[in-house]
Amino acid sequence: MPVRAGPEAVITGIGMITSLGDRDHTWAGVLAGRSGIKEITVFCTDNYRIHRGGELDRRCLPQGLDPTCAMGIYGLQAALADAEIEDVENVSLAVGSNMGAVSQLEEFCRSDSYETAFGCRLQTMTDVLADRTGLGGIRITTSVACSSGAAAVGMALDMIRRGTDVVVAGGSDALTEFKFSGHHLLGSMTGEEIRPFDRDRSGMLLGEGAAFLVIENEERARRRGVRVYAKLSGYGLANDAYHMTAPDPEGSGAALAIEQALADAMVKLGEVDHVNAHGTATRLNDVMETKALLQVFGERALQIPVTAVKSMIGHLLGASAAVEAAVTTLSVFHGIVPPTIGLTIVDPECQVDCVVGSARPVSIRTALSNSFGFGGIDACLVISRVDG
Amino acid sequence: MSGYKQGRWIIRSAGVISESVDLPRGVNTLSRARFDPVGFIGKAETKMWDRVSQLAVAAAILAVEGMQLDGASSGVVIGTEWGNVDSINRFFARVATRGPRFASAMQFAQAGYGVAAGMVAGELGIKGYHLTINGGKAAGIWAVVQSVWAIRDGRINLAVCGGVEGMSSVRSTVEGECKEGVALLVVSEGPGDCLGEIRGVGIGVDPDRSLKAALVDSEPITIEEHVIVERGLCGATDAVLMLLRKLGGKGAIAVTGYEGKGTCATVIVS
Repeated sequence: MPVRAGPEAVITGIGMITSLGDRDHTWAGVLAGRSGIKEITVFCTDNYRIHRGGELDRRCLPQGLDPTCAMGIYGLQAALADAEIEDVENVSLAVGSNMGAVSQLEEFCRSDSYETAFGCRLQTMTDVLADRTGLGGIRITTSVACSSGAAAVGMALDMIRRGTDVVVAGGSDALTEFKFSGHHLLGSMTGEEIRPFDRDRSGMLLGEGAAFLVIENEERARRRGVRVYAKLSGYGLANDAYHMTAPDPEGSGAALAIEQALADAMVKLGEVDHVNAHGTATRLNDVMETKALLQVFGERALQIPVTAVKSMIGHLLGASAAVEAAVTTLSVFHGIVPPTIGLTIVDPECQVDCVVGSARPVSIRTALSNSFGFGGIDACLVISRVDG
Repeated sequence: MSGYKQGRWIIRSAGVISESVDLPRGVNTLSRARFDPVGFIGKAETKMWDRVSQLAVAAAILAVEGMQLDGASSGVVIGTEWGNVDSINRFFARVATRGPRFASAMQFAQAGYGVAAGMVAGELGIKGYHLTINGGKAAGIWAVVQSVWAIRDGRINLAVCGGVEGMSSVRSTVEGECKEGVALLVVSEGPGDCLGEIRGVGIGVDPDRSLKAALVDSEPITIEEHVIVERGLCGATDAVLMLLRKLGGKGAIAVTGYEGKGTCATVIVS
């Protein structure tokens, strides 16, 4: 076990936009078990069997930009305001995204201009976000499918531990026909409700949004006297090394990511009081995730309160891990676990303690936020309560 | 600030597929002109996989040749500026022009910026720490930095890391003349036979601060040369190739990959 040296990292700001609204509306919405799923209007779905998704009201976004960039700027600015940071000259940025400014990719097919091609670079999206908000620190981008937001948060933790004072980290992904058509082809989407861990679950629906966390050197945060939501204690990344599109059914990669994260956080198994699940409601993921939790926690896995936020806002792809990290942070801070909607009969193979009906007050010392990406990329974040 | 584990970090081997083959002895090099992916991944996969995935897997196979890897304690960290953008472009062009019914699920599976690292992990059975860095021309060197951190933090014992770029109409539209290529290192804790030793790593907003971070990371050391790679024809791969070229040189040499605008990473080798 390594000896931990270096500063602790805390979360001092949260900015978010989803189909349920901004940070406060999303949090109130998930606590109330509201669904943000609706008919898709941002592109024509006539050629598809599925017509619904977690589309957000884009009128609140900065206009004239690629929607993924616009959502990212919204989330980023909201996070900085929440953390009461005005001087951003030395604030760094870590961005996770599945496809970045995908409208540029779609546009390139129609007119292969320099501007649209340059917009296709994933780092270009990060530059747009940083330039629009004036961030003058280090900036970096990562893309590891549905785990992108978590990987960005993990990279931010690495940076804080090695001397960077403040990093804003998170992810953004807009709902576009490109992503929709791919997942439609894979047969991973449902024509019904999203039902994580349910016996009759039949898949996910896509959503869109962004979330950014302000991650700060703990000592600096205390000196500033700013509110601290929680501690970012650790992270883990792993790969199933199994199949291009399907997860390892035994959950060994997911279990490895969770174990790595707990070891990194130096947290005991018995201190984990909540799991914010990846919970996509596909036939394969939910049983795999249950097996992974059983591998790590033993029978205690079935007693830890679990929530699956995707039941309400859909799968936000690269942004989902960031949004779920934000919700997990708020859960730890407020001591309450949101419900999962759509779950009526628990699958016998998925007997986790999924909170249903209404939100459950839970004293959470430490929570996990799981993200198990397309292509077998597994991520886990460890978020802990800060006492005092 | 030093890492959590004090020790010695080495570049055990490397696999390169590139137009430039002027690399030290011990680097397993294949010229791009002679590269036939079928020999590495088979005919069916060659037909289905994006070129970047093909290059990355082939270079990884070259890099780990003769090694026994423990999947759970090994990792993959790859840097790429453009990823599998060619597959992304082709997939959506098919959807846009002919409709979604005529698009390919397999091509969609290849259509991503972080797919190549996943293909390497899958082919070599590497389950540990896994990441793709998309920091432009700094991405390949940043991948080496991130790998050293992961080893120091006790997450893994060994990492296959470096940079890869492929050709695509998207990339050519921006860059004009450009090349494909891949350079992957096997980095682990020493001692042992190695191509070179990593003395320090760091990141920063610009080359000066990135070098300073790497110097703080290492024990007291004199840098004989600081090479900054910010332009080149092979994206994230160029700086990693430069790192390999500098191995075995006189004294400690710092190699920095610089994307500009705050994305910069440095590795000091000797």
